[in-house]
Amino acid sequence: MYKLTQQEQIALTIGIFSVILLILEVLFFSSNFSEKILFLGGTTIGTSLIIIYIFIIQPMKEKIRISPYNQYYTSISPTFRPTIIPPSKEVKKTVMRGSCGYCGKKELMGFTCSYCDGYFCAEHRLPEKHDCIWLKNR
Amino acid sequence: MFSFSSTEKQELFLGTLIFVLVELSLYISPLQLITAFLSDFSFFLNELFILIVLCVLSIPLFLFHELSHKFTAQGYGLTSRFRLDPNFALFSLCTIILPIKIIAPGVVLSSGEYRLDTSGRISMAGPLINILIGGVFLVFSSLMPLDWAMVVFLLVSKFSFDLALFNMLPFYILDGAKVLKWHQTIFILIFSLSLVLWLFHPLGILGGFIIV
Repeated sequence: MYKLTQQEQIALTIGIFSVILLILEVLFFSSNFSEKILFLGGTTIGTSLIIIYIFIIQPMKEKIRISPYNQYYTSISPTFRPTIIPPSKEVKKTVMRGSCGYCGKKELMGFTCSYCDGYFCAEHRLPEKHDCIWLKNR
Repeated sequence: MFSFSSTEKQELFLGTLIFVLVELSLYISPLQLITAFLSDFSFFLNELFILIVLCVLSIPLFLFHELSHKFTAQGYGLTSRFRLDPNFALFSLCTIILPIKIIAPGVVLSSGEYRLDTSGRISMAGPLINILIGGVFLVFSSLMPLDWAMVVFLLVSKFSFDLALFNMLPFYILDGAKVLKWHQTIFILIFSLSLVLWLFHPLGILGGFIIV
């Protein structure tokens, strides 16, 4: 299941309290007709604005997007939640030639996996294509 | 962002027109209107005036619902447009003469790469906008000095909550099903909010007994 952020959890709690408050107010409190309507409307506007801002506008600012790679893993495992790892500041030694760590094919211009640092051919360069250790450890 | 094609504008216009016609039939059926025209002309004129006001006020309910889906999807970087489904539009029009109303003239289609929560957020935008508009109309209705104006504003807010609740039902391709697929608690919150507002609305099932 999707893990809610702290702000989303707060908004959710406010929303649930508002629903309970609406029921209590209508059933037990103010007796004036227009007062009740005003309260219903005011609580509705406040609650919906909070939910809209926290659940729709805020994430829109952060531009939640997913790459096809992440979508692939989400489809096969709904609990899989990829995290973005900041690039390492270490200077990596560029490998110019070698054999693919997965199929053994000799490759002059291979690819280095940014997760496991292995050397792979074009076909097995992606983590899911070479059974990346990083993926298994997660 | 926020781009429209000319076809989409036409389809949105047609969709809104169908929505307004079906919603107005909730207030007064075509048969009742014809009977009023034949029997009591002053009553007919009175009803016609209220229908025109209701028609104008009901436009944002459908329009903002669909646009909120579209703009949210575009805000998340997806391509999105409103499509009018001729079969569903015709079916919706037919419900004008039926006691049960179904309003589904079209749907907002989004394309691009997005995950489950983005889909849920796009789907929840429509019902939430309807809840917000309903709340605004409720506040307006409490400030209205005239009785008929108060009833008209209450009716529009009721229509808005109707639309929110109908869309939050967790069936088929409705918004509720997509939100439920994403997160159960969020679905329960929005569904219960729209259900409570629908039930306890002054013109609603329980509201009719408790408030009035």
